[in-house]
Amino acid sequence: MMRRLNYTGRRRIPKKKVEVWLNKSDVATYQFECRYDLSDLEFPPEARVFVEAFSLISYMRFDFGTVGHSEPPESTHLTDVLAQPLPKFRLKVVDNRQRYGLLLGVADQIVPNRADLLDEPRQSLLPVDFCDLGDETWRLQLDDWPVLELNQNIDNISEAARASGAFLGLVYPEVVRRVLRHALLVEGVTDPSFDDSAWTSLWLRFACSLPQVTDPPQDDGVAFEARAEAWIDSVVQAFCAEKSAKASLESALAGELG
Amino acid sequence: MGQTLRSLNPRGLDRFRDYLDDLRAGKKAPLPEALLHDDGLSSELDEQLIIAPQAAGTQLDLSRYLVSALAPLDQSRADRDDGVWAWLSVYYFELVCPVRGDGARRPGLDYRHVPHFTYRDRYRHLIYGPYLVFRQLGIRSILLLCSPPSVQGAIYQDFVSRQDLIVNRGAMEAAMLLYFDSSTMRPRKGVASSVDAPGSVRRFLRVLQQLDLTYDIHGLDGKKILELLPPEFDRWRPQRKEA
Repeated sequence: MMRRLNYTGRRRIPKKKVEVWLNKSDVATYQFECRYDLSDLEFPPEARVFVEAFSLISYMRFDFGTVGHSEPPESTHLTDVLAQPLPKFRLKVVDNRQRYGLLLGVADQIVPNRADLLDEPRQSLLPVDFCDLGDETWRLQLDDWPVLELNQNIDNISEAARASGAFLGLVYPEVVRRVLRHALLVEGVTDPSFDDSAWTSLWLRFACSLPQVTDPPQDDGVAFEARAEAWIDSVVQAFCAEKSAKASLESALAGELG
Repeated sequence: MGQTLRSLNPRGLDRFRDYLDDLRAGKKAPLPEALLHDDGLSSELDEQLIIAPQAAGTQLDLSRYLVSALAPLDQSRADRDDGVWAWLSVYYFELVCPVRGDGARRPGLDYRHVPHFTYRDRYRHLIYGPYLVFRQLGIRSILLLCSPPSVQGAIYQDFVSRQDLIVNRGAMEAAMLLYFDSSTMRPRKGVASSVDAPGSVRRFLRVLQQLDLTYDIHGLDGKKILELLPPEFDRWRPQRKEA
C-alpha cells in the first residue's frame, strides 16, 4: 500500500466531529442524516461543506452549505448508491473562492450508524447489515470495511447479535479471526498506526488493546504467514477471554438444553 | 429468439466449472447446454425475464442490453446471485469465450465466468463486471468498455482497481478527453502502457490519487481536472492534438 503525503496543510477532521445516521427510506433503500461540528477547526466561514456517500462504484454528493451557514439538502435519499456493501461517507470542506476546489479538510471512511440498531452514536468497527441470506444465518462481508451481515428473515436476530451468549461464543471469535486475517494476509497491513481512517489500522489497534496481545508481526519475508496466524490465534484467545465467550456459550447452552 | 433467464444451482455451477476445467486441459468438449434449461442444473427466476442473443460487439453493447433487460430484477438479487451471472456466461459463451484460430477455447480463470463477489474479483467476471460499470456510469464508461466481451483490457482493469476514481464524473470526463479516439471509437494507441510511462492511464490514475489529497476532484469537471495535470499529459491533451 502506498503512503500518501499531504503537502498542502489539508486538515483531517476528527471522526468524532462527524456522525452519519442511516435510516430506512421509502424512495431508496436508505436516507441519511449528517451531524457535524466544525466550529473549533478554524475553517473560513464561506468554505463549502459537501457530504459524499459511496459503495463500490456507486456515489452521490450532497451540498450542505457553508461552514458558517449549514444548509442540509432537502433530500438525502441514497437513490444512486448501492445498499450493499453498506455505504460509507466522506465529509469535505472546500475552498471555492480563493483557490477553486482546494480541499481544506476531510473526514473520510465514515461508517454510518444505523438508527434502528444503536443507542449510542459511535464509529463502529463492525457495522451490521440485514440481508436476505437464504438459509445462511450470518456472513462477513470483506469487500471493504468489514460488515457483519445477518439474515433479515430470522426473528430477533438483531437482539441475538447484541446479547446472545451463543452468538458471542460461536460467531464473534470467528469474525475477529477472519477480519484480522484479511487485514494482515490480504491487505498486507501490519501497522496499527498506518492510517487513522482505515479499517485495517482500527482493527489492529483494537486487537492490540486486548490484554497481553503483542504488536502484530512485521512482514520481513520470513515465515510471515505462520507468524501472522499465530498472532491472530493469540488475539482470538484474548478476545474470548476478555468477553468470556466460553462461559457465555456454556450458559446459553445450559439454558437451552437444560 | 430469446430464452427465459435462469440461475445455475450448486450442481449446475459445479458442472460449469468442470467444463471450464476441461477446456483448460485442452479438451474440445461441447458446451453443456443442459445448463441453460435442465431443472436439475438451473431454475427459473420469479421475474420470468427473456434474454435474447446478441451479435458480436463490445462490452458496452452487451452491458447496455443487459442493464435494460435485467431492469425488473431486484438489484440486490442481481448483485448477489452468482448462478444468474454464470447462467448468462453459459448463454453468451460464444461471446465471452469464442473459439480461437486453433480451434480451442481459452476460458481463463473461473471468476471470469462464475463471479466472485469480493472486492478484488467482482469486476473480473466478463459479463457482470462491465454490466456493473455501465449500470453506474452509463455511456461515460465507453473508454473502459470498448473491447469485445471476451477481453478485459488494461484500461478497464486499471480503472476498476481504483473504484473511488471511477465514480468521479470529472475524472472520467478527463480520461475520455485525453485517451479516447472518437474517430475509431477506441482508446488512442499507446495510452494503456503496462508500465508507469509518462502520460499513460496508469500515471493518470496515480496523479489523480495525489490531486485527490489537495483538491475536491469530485467537484471538478473534466476540463478543470485537465488544467491540473502536469506537462507529461500534454501529448494527449485535445488542443495539442488539434494543433
